[in-house]
Amino acid sequence: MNKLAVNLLPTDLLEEKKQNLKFDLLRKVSFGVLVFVVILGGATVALRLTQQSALNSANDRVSNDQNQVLAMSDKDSQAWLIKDRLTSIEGILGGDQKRKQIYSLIMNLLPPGMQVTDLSLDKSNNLIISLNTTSLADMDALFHDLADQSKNQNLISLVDFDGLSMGKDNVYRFTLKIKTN
Amino acid sequence: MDQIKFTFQQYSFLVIPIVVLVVSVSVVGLVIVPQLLSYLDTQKKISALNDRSTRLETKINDLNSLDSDQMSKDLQILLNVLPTSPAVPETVVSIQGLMSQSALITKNLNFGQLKQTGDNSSYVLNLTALGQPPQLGLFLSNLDNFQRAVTVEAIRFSNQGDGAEITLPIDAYYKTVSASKINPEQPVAKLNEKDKTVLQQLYSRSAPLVINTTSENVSVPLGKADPFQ
Repeated sequence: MNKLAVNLLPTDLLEEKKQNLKFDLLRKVSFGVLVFVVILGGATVALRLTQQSALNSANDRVSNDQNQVLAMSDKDSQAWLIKDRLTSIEGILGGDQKRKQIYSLIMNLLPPGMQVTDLSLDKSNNLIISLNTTSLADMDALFHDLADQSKNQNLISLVDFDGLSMGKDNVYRFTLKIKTN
Repeated sequence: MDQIKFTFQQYSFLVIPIVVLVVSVSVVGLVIVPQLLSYLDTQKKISALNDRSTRLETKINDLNSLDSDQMSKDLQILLNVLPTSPAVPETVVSIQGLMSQSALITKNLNFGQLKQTGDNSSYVLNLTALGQPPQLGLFLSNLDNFQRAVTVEAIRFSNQGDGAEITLPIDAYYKTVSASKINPEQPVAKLNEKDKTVLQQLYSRSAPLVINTTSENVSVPLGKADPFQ
């Protein structure tokens, strides 16, 4: 069934109606924007309030932890003191080890018949040693051992032979200046 | 007046959008943007606080896992090895004991001025003794197990007819306790493998010297109970 639609309204009214529809849409959009902005503002404020609560909670946790650490400060100090003393002791104890090693090495290398008359081992681990012996073979053995890397533990870098003499008593006297590695 | 009224009516449709625009800009400029900026700032603060809390909780766990009794023993050993004061008499007595153990005869033992070497303090004990190189070797070996932190600075030996003389300048170390307060935020000082090995070595050193004093009850004649009798 066909319908017949006839618009009998004047053109002015139609124009005004169109205009009103546009204004209405503008008002609705404006309200929409306003509502959106207000909701967004409210949401950010709510977010900040929640965040403030998280901040307070984190602060409380840190403060609580700090109190617990402070309650164990004696233990903390002890641990620190132990570490500090150990570090110092480690620095001190190795200081003269090489000197002792050099002394022990020289005493081990000396043939039994050889006598030490003077010995000086200084802070830089340089050794000057004066020796007596009646045997040239002992002297030879000593020089050989001092120069042998398998026997000198790689501690000796230079042996300076100084002042050999022989007295009426048939005793050889000589001095060695030994530089260490 | 009619002109103004007419103009207002003509543009009345713009009033609401303008008011909305002003309010929106105000809300965005005065509320949303500052809140968002401070949100980021606060988020950083919370993150920093959480990190701090994690560090502190780790420290609490570390401190809880430490054995107080063992630490006291360790500290006692370490304070024997590296005391807080020069403790000259104790060191002299101990070294003399070590010399007699090594069959060296003490000729002279004096101590020089105090020195500061880095964090540590020390003083020189000049030791002169009578003995032979093997005994000196034994003494040096015994020094490795000495209860105090000492180092032999030089070794001199002289055998000139009238007897063999040994001269040893020995540095004896000590360390005062620093007054600096420990920062609660710094992690617990932990011992590494090297520290543990050294600590074990120190335990195996000879026990600290204890000077025993003996008290005897001396009976003294008190005379008569009544002196006027």
